[in-house]
Amino acid sequence: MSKENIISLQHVYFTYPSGKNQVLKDINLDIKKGSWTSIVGHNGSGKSTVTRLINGLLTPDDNPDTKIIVDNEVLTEKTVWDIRDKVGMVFQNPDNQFVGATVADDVAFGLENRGVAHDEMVERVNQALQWVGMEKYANSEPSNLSGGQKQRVAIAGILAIKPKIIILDEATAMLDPNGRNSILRLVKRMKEKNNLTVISITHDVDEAIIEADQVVVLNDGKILMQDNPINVFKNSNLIHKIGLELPFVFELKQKLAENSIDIPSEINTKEKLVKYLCQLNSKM
Amino acid sequence: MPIKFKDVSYVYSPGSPLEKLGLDNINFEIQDHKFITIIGHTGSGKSTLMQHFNALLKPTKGTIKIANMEITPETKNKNLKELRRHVSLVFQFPESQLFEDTVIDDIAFGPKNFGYSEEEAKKLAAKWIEKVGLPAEIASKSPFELSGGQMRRVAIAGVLAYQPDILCLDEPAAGLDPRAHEQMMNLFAEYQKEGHTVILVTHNMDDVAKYADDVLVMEHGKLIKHATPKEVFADRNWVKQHYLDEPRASLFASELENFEFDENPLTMDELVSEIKNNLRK
Repeated sequence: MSKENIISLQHVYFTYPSGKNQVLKDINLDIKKGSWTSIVGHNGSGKSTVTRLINGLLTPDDNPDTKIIVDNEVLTEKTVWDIRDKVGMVFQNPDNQFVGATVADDVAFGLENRGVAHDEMVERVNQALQWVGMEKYANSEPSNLSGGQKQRVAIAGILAIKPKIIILDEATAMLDPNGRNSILRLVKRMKEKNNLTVISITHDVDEAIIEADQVVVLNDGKILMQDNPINVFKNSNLIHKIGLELPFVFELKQKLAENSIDIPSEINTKEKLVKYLCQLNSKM
Repeated sequence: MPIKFKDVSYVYSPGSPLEKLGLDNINFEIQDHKFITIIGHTGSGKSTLMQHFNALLKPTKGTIKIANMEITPETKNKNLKELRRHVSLVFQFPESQLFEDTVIDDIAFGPKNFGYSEEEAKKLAAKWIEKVGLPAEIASKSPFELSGGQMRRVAIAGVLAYQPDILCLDEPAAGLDPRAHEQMMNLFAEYQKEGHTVILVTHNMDDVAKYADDVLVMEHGKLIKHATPKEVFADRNWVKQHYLDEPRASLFASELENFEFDENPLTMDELVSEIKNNLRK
């Protein structure tokens, strides 16, 4: 494992205890410290399983070659609790993750679990709520919040534990566009502020292309591609074949090409495409 | 018969300290067999409005005409079963309401409840398993062994199986992968074309552009616009003022400064054809 990788999965296989089929087959994945990795793939491709292996919620199949390393520690029964302190997860449905009677209680839950002293706990809860912009709701009941506010509180609960890695498991799928954007902005800000590593499982390929340093495409339990977003999404046929969407810009480029308007491959962002089309239009 | 809301208001917890106006004097009429979308922010009254279509909530004031019935504040609950046979509501995450031991029993529950015989109900269920794109052998499985996307389809098949005239859905495709999303939306579009009304609550403006005949825009419990997608998105300032999202094609088009558009393109195909026209000139 090179120095700057914070996560390394080597030859990881996984079969659910009740199942016959291997749902992950020889997964090899390195994630750099401070990077944003988007994992895409259709429902049932094994995306969530991968992330649950990283924090030891699931245990990989027995195999002498398998190794999971998180922040320079090999994941074992002994290190799993230590590693879980470093990996925070936000799930799709915030209603399933609330335990506290008030927002502040909820954020404090993880700290209480870890036996943090009361004074420090209060301070960390307040700070986490401030980070996510929910300090005014400290004494509100979580059930009275909107979906986006609930996800903010869930994120605060994770930030309070000061993890090094934050995993978003379709954390914005239930939110309206404004809610989704504000959560993404928040995660981005926190990533920069606290030097977090972000792993985002998502169907939103437009998010993947804007935010991600690397995109991992999973299909039927195997890693099909693993590269920067531009290199991944230029394989339009493959992306369609496995039931995924192209980011808007790539889809548009493909449709234009079908209409004999060929756009050079280096035009690969929205800004570049707008500029290119406007220039093309003024020449005509 | 068109659906007609006349002066409809709804008050949550009237007379208590939590009293809140959910719907504020709503008036509209929609024609039969249309694809209608309801858009607006969280808390704008979309779901409150939807729950009036089958009288899960009854208006505090005003009259609703739907499926040959008239619903007023005085309507008694015992008269509503017939209405609910014709008007179905599908909530978010309908898969959380699956309960039978097998997929086929779960889908047959609705038809049986509305008077079909056991045999007829199972026949309908088998037909709808296929129509929603599930493999036939799934029928004898437990719904709880299925993936999330499959469970969603089972739940929706359970509603479609008794063929409601009016199908109301709250974000039915949320959380599905892109292919499943498209299949789900096409299923509703097909159901509408077969001669039913489909009413969809959604945040997805690309779906609004692609599928809707009419759009109802809600804000603070008021209906602030009832128009076609073209008309709704034509006035970009109005859309911005009300903090509504736009279809991605229309957003992209707005950045092409030296292009002239005959019409604001709302879908990918419209955008491509407008770009083509401009470059040809």
